[in-house]
Amino acid sequence: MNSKNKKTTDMSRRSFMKTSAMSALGVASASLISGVAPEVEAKTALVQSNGKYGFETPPSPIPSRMIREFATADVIVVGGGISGVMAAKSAQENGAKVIVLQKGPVVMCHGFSMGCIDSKIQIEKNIRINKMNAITELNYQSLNKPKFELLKLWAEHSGETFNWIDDMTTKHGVKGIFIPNAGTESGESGGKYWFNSYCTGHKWKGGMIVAINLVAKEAVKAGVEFRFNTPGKQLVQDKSGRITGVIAKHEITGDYIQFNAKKGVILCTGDYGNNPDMLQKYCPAAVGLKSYYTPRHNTGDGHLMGIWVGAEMENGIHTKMAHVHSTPDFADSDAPGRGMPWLAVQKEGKRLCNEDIPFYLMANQTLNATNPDGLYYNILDSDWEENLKQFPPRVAGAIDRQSFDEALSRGLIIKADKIEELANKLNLPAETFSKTVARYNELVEKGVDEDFGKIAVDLSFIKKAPFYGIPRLCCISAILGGININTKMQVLDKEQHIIHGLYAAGNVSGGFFGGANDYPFPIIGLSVGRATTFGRLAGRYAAKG
Amino acid sequence: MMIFTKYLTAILSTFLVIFSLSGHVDAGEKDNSSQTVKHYYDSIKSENNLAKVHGDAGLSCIDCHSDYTAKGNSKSDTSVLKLKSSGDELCLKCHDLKEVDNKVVYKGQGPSGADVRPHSQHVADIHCATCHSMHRKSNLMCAKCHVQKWMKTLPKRWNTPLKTEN
Repeated sequence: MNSKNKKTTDMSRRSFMKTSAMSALGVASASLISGVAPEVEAKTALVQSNGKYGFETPPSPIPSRMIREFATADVIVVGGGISGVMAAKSAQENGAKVIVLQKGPVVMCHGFSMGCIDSKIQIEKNIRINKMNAITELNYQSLNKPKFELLKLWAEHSGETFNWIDDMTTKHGVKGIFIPNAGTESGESGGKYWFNSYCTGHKWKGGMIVAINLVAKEAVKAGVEFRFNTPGKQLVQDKSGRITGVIAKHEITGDYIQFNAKKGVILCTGDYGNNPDMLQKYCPAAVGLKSYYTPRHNTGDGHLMGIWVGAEMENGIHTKMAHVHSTPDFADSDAPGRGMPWLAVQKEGKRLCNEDIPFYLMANQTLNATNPDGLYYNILDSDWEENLKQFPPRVAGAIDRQSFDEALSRGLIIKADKIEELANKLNLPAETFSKTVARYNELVEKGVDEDFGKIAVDLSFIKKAPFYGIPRLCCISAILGGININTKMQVLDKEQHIIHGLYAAGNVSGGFFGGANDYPFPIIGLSVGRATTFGRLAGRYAAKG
Repeated sequence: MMIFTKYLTAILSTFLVIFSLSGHVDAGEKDNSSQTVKHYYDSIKSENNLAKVHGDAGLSCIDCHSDYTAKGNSKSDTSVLKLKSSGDELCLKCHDLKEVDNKVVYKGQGPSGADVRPHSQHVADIHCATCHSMHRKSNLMCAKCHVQKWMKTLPKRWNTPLKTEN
């Protein structure tokens, strides 16, 4: 498909979306409201005069005359992703009538691996990870910023949460699988500079999105009601400060609907990686990197609803999860061999860093280039398969001849007969790039990485044509900073007092990663592991009121 | 797929609106032909339309539409083409949802080799008409977020799927 065609079809797709979202019906209802509307939507632009961001000022409360429908349940879950679906199912099991409000038309999430300790599979395989050691390492790598009690809560409840989910997915013929080759029982995976992980990863074929949809099906069967295209907009707070409900706005009709919660509202709205103002304020280290999260629903809605009723945001700068892909399109597969220690250069043609640095920290160095875009390039020659025999094993993206050739044919790996030609094809400054390669070969020859200190066994020549370049794009998967909670998932205010009736789980909740610069990796699948575990706990606690 | 009924009204209204807005029938594709009854009638013969599959199967306008008064004197008036019933209900008069779901399975084409079942993959507010259109090209909503091989194998009546919007 040529670019012109692509553009035309792209337009038509966008217009189609617009049509479905803004059916004449929706427009008509929306126009009934406009004209009388107070400023009930959050401002998005920076407010320069007082130094505050627009989103920090609570919007005017949505007046009840604008509410088109009222509904009541024991527990209202805002967000139908990983933590939201778990919270809903768990609250239902604990006796609550539950309504889930979801932005967009589907139950969806990202993520492939759920981290947990003492799942039934691990126990069957006699893999007994020392919980305290694991979370102590996590705490250390998170610069001692997390609330340790939250880490403990995850360690204690993650295994049983996996079992609970797996019982439901197994009913539908999808069994959870333990990932044996990422990390070890002792948490040591080899080299000093490669990342060392505990083998905590579990997955379901097709990813977390398959698992949570099966749990959601079970939830629907058990009476949980899902409302789609119905994102929460504002919390309803009574005079005592208790949260008694949430007002949502239907994305198609434009109608406001008030959902009253007899027992509690659980915020499970995910992260704010697609809210540029919030990124600027709470996670400036992510600015300059593209978002890997589509659709762009993760705009921090729950964070904002929380702070508008007095919830305290955890101390910034928040933790970013910036992983390495080939494109910002999460649905597209990536070039293989991510994390292998071949020469890496940044966009100016200079060497990026010690290539033994784990992939999840690469983004930071790309940001040191002028006009950063998150790109770096692995450079290899025709002996790349020999190099793989030379490099000691590590946690990295698998690569073999077949996956290599496939990526080559898809243009995710670039081939050239000369170094200068490769530079041109990768759009790198040829002169600097050639010097970098020459210098790298010199270091390989010496057997000492005088420039960045990489261990000798990970040095390999770039001499034999054809040469290959693999563009790697560091982009943001999620921002892991949120509003403060206690061990009952209750949201806390500035004085650490409980905001009664309000709970939070998953990426909207804070204190777990504490604001270390980057998502640490001693525990494989930790973010999903937290979302599932805490979602389930939040549902239980909210149902018990 | 499990939560259809609540949204039937909304879908019905959308449908009627689409049918009554001549000239704005399809914001998704540039179509200069006048939106007359003739246009709809012609769509039964067009490879670009799902209507042809139904026409080929021996169906005609009145199988889906009531109040069909176009006998040469009201060709420019499309507002009379009302649907016999609303939303999914109309399609499910002939199609069995379970059967459709079991028939359309793309084996091993999902992430990490999982099967893809487009009709039951998500717990969702998705209806037949979310993707399928009779008198214009159909739109593959799956392609808004996913890139999978089967998407390139669909007949001409589907809009070319594209990658996620960025």
